[in-house]
Amino acid sequence: MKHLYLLLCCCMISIIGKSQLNCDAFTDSASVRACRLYNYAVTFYQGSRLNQQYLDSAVRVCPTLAEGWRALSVPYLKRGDFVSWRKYLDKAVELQPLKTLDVRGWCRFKFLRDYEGALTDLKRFDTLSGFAHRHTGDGTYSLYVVMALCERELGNYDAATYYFAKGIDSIFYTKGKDFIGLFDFLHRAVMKIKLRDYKGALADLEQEEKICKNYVEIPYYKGIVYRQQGKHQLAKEQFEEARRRFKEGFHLVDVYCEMQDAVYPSDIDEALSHSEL
Amino acid sequence: MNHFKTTVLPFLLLFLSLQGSAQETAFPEHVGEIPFDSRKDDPHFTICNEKQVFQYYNTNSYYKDHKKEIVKYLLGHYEAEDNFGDQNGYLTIKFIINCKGETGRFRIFEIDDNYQPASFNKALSGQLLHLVKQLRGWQPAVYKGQIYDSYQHITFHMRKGKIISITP
Repeated sequence: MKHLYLLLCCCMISIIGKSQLNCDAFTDSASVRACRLYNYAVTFYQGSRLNQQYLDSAVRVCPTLAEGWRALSVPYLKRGDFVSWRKYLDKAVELQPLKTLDVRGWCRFKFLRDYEGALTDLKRFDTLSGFAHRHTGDGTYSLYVVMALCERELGNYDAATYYFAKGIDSIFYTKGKDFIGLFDFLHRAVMKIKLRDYKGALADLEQEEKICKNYVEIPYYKGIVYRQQGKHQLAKEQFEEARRRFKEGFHLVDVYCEMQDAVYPSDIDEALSHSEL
Repeated sequence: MNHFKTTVLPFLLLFLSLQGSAQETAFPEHVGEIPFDSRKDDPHFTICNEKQVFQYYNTNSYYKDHKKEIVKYLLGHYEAEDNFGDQNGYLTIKFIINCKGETGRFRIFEIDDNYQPASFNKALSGQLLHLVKQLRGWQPAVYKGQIYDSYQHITFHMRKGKIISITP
């Protein structure tokens, strides 16, 4: 069920990301014409000249077409031109903050690790949307978990705990575990390790194992907990399990950016070398 | 004739409308492409296929698999100087990894914390560019058994002249 939900979520996002607009929804001729231009633009490869030219034409015909500005911005973000990305996306945010401010906040978190900026956008979005529970554009996280990660990375652990509770516990008790993000428990466990709440960290890692089986990061961070507790044999077993999973299992990875708390083979080698001393 | 009016004409009008509208702004063949510039680029650095340079996210990239080592090298070799204290913002170095695993066509993009164009201290930007140029061991993009040239960028988030994060 969990995976089905996420799969559907990802499919929807994928469809929304490239989908055509319904031009019948527009009533004035300029908007209809811009809509057709937009729909024609998205048939071309993202970031290609024709894709950008037709999107540019769409927003010239109808400067209030927020979808056009947003679509224009995307390839600049992915390809490291953040001035142009903001130039276009900010116009979309001005026009339709309820559809784009969350995207801007999430991208500032994801692509630039601009935690303060992401929080500014996401807090404003949270208020504007009436505290609606939304997810990131790729479906990976609840926006509250993104806010929690921003606060955690800024060292604001009380605020991070608050947002983790909103993104995890409130969902757990209202919708069930199937609606919790794939890596939410893991990220909270890492924060609990920093706070030396080892019991809480292990509890979250146990929950994580139920959601994402066979991920490298789970035994790695369990090993860190055991090592901190002086349980060196248990720690070594967990690190060895993490090494096995690198060959046979999965690890935190994203097509665009390094994910927070991702573990590399060298982390495991280093942990094992310490446990053998 | 009716068939022409109901089926062909709307498409023809749309096509003419699209053709007419699509000429207003000049865009490059691909957003973010880096054409050769004889004033900036090493003429000995060549790429296999100018028309098909992948993006780093099109395939498994060397950067993503080796980011930890790359970051360790960059942080280990970067030296903040005394007069870097007012240097804040994001500095992105974009380049091409060619099909032989060599790097070239480096370009620097600098913005402040508000995402506005800015200029970092030349000693700072020069040092980061030098370090990125020194990185070795790049592997070209591979797709369906074929090797390709690819774009890569590295963004440094600077605060008071210190590197506080390296992305993507």
